[in-house]
Formats: sequence, C-alpha cells, structure tokens
Amino acid sequence: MTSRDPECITVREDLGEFALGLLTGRERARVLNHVTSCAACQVELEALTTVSDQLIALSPFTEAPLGFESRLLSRYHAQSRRPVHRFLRVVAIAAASLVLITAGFILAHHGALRGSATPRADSAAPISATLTSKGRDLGHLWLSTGTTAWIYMSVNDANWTGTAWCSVTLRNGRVLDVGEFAMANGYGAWAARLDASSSDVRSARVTDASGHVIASATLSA
Amino acid sequence: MSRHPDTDEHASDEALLAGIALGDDDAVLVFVRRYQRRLYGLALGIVGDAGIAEDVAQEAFMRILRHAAVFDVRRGTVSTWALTITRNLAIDALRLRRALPTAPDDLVFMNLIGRDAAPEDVAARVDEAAPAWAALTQLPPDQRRCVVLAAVYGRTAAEIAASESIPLGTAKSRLRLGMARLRDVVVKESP
Repeated sequence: MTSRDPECITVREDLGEFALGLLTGRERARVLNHVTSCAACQVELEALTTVSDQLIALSPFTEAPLGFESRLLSRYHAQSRRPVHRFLRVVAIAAASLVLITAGFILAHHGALRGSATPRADSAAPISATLTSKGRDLGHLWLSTGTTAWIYMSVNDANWTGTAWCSVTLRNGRVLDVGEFAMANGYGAWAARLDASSSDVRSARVTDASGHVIASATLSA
Repeated sequence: MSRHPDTDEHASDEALLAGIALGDDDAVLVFVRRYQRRLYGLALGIVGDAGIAEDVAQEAFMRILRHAAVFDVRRGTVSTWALTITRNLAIDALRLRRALPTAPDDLVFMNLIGRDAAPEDVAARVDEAAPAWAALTQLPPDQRRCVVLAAVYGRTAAEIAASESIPLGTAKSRLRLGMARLRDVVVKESP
C-alpha cells in the first residue's frame, strides 16, 4: 500500500495519537491491522514513536516525598523475600539470561567489550556455578548457552577492594582472560562475552594483581 | 556492568536492570535513586496530587523491578520504558477516580509551552529529549499546548478538547499537525 491508499490516509490521521498511546483499544486494533501490512505506514509510525519517546523525556523532575525510597525498598524486599516456587526460579534464571545477553549486546555495541559479534539469543537456561574460596560461598556465575557464551559474575563478601581480574579455563586447558573490573568492599559484578562455547568452559576464577585467587568456580561437565 | 553503588553509580541503565534481574540489591538502590525524581515528577504532573503521585511512582518502580528481566533493548531505552509505565499508571489512576483532568498549570508545563522557555530548565537535563525540545519550540503555540498535554500529561484528544474549550476535530487536527512537524525535525536530526 502507498500513502495514496484510502486506508493509509485514514490510518495516518490517527498515527500520531497511536504513537502517543492515546487511542482506545478498538482504534488501536484498526491501526495495527493496517500497519502490520503497510511498510510505508510502519516507517511513519516508527518516526512518530521516536518523537513520542523524546517528548515523554521532557517530563518534570520533582523531589520525591521524604521516606519515598525507604518505603519503596521495604515493599520491594518484602515481596522479593517471599518463597519462590521452583518453576518460577527456573523462569527467573532464564529471564536473567535474556537480560545478560541483552546487556552484552549493548556493551558490545558501545565498544566496551572486544569483538563485534552479536550474541545469539539461545533459549536454553544459563549454566550457573557457585564461586567459592576456602569452602566459603562468595558469589555466583552464570554462562549463557550457545556457541558464543556470555558470562555474568557476581562476587560478594570477598574481602577485597581494588582491581580484580577474571579468567576462564577451557576443557582443552586454554585460559581466556575475560577482563578486569573494580571491586569495592568485597563486592563486584560484571558481564562480558566469551570467545568460546559455554560447554567448553571448565572453570572460572577471580584473581588480584599478583595472581592470588580471590574466588573460583568449577562447572560440571 | 553493575557494581557497588559507592563506586559504580554511573553504570548503564541496562546493566542495572541485568543486576536487578539477578537479585542485586545494590543495583536496585542505584536505579531507584537515579529515577525517583523523574518518575515521581511525571506522576505528579499527571495526577496533580502528591499522595496519589507517590502511589503511582511506587507501583511503577515495583513493576519495573519485577520485570527487569524482560526489558527488551530493541524496543527503546530504559528511560522511555520506565516513563511510559509511570505515565500509563498515572493516567489509569486519574481515570479510576473519574476525575476530569484539568489543564496543568505547573511551572514545567508553562516552561514547555512558553515562548520564552529556557531550554536548560527542561531538555538540558535530558540529552535524549534535546531534539524534541528544539522542535517543540518551533511549533505554533496552540499545537505546542496540545502536543505537551498529550505527550507529557497523557491527555486524550477528547480531554484536550474539553479543557481547551475547542471542538474535538480541532484538538485532533492540532495534535496531528504538531506531531507531523516534530517528526520532520526529529527525523532530520537523527543520525
């Protein structure tokens, strides 16, 4: 269809309001029904949506009432500490994997990580392992599955402040440097792309500048 | 990447969401501190009541934190996502109370529609909105009012028609023309 199509002309009358989210359900359905099959209107809608997104960013900044933050965090923690069904836990891990891949995609696009390959959005749940030191649990790592893996690592209570280095050892004995990151008061978390398949990773470790191991994890075969 | 808030409060929004999805409480704290003024400000602008605005902003944060794992970067920025959730909740809250929205008269609105608005009052705080701000100032005043009422304050064409005392067709026409002009400028300035 083209912009001279009568349906295009009718729909374009409403595209601005559609982009602003102002149409009723029935009106939205009518617009969507047309836009899904009209490339020209899709382009127009994309442009108007960009405008709408920028306009909402003009919204005012206002200091929230006293206690806003503590009330919100109390409510959040009360909900997040409820017992989680095992199935939901699996869903959460799978969802975290999706975020991990998305975050990696962004980082790769911004040049924060080496390489430019776009990660493959594998649907399988990530592999996880516990980071330990001398029998103490110090955090977790997650590896997305697929030919190009993404690693997310979270370290807590590691008694270390400063720069730390992360590396993984593959099953063929090769060691890959993942990168360096900052830790403060024993805490640090980061995500990065690995030039290896997740199934090839045997172990991971975090070290200080002298090579002293702060925490490590071994993945099951 | 997300790290301790004392050292990494400049982590990207997307990295914070990744940390939140994985249960990182520090990422939650940094995100809340980064966004509370924006989300509360938007809610207050729409509902006009501090108590309701807090309820709306709190619920918006809860939804964002709960659904951090499903944020899709291909569909827009985190800020747009967060603001849209807040805006929709605020509009729902307003309509639930069957209140007829009145035209906002707060300082931000006056700045947005005023001829002498100072850009640093609004868009300079948000780089992403700079092209829209520049384009907005070029619109005729009537169109600018309608666009701001719709885009920032969530007013429908019918509500704008009522509050501005103009026919519905006129409100729709101003909205359509205003958005078309903004599109021309914003698209032209996009890379």
